[in-house]
Amino acid sequence: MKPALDPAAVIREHAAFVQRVLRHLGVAPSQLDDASQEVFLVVCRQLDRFEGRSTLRTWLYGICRNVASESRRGAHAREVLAAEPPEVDQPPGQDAALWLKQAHAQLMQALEALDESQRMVFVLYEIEELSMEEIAAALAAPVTTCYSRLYAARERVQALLRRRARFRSAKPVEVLP
Amino acid sequence: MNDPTRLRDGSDAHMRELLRYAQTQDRPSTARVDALTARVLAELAGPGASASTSTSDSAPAPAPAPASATGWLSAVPTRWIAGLAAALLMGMGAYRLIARPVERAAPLPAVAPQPPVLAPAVAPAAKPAAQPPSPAGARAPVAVAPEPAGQARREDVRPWRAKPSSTRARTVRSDPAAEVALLQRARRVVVADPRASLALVAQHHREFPQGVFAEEREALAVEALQRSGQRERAATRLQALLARYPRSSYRERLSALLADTRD
Repeated sequence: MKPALDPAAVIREHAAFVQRVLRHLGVAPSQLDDASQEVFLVVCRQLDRFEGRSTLRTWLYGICRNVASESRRGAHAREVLAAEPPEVDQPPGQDAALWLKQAHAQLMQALEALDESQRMVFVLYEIEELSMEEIAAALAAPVTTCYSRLYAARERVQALLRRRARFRSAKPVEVLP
Repeated sequence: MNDPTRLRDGSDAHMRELLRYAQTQDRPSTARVDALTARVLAELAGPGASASTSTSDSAPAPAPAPASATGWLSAVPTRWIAGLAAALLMGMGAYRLIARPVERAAPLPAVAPQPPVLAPAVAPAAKPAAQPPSPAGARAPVAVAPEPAGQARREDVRPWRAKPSSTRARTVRSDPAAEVALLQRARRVVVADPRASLALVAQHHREFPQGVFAEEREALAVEALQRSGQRERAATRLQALLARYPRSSYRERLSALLADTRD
């Protein structure tokens, strides 16, 4: 008999994963806490029925997807992901913190441009570091399909990031103070 | 079939850095996770148990369902403040990158070398929306030595220059959101109370000697000095600002401000 999972431990261990996945599934930042709560309510209510046939993260992803689908109907969906990201051409160095923040915003924008199936393969593999097998189970898709989605997503993300770097400049400047 | 090499283990150093950074984003703080845990457990225990279980949340017990009810959300308005700070940061960051393409690439001999800030080092500062923000006035004091009065004038001239090693170690913070919040406060009072604005600018310099918004800080300092009647110091500081940022977009505006008041 498998040991029972402690709900509090599950929440603590997977809160960050759930929030990032929800974000990439289009949940607005202002809705992340609500959506996370909803995910973990479902998880905890069904925790004793979790049989371990998939990994916990795979199961969590499925719940996230359902919750995100509801959440996206809200008026604030994608309020930040849809925002125009700042331009970036500065490699890590003295302004590394700023560069990373802005490059991350661009990455989010590039991901946003992908269709969800490609975006989630990229996010789950490259950021959350699930195995391809886990991803295939989470997305209910053949592993080979996930591979092709990953390669397509990589190509598009890299191309978008390159393009944004190239076409920086020539924007109107607003004086701050 | 083996999984392909992940990009974070690949040959593109920038992509590696970026993906590692991405892994640190949207990571809720411990306090926030604790609050989430308390809310979920309270919800599971039923409405009557909420008040006793939700220790980190002073809001009324959440409704049994659905969980998206935002009763507890209204008790945490600071989340919106964090979002606003993040948005402001984005805007200011974009502005900086657009406005100063040359200065950033130019050598800065007056500045002490600053080691690259890698993702793990900046992770806590780079997720303002994921941390429970505190009111600007309630931020924990930073462990920096008080600014000696005798250095004030030199500070006005080369405020970004790293100070010589002091007897007390300086804690260098990297918290762009906090920087923005502080500079916003300084901006709000620069016309009505330029001396208060100067004090906030000085606080920014003490807390963020190598902050990413140094140019904005110096522009504010020039304006505050001018508005408080310290015209020579304003001019000197403007010269120093332009020496470091030759193509600063503040040039015309500040020059005009100084000229207007002289006439």
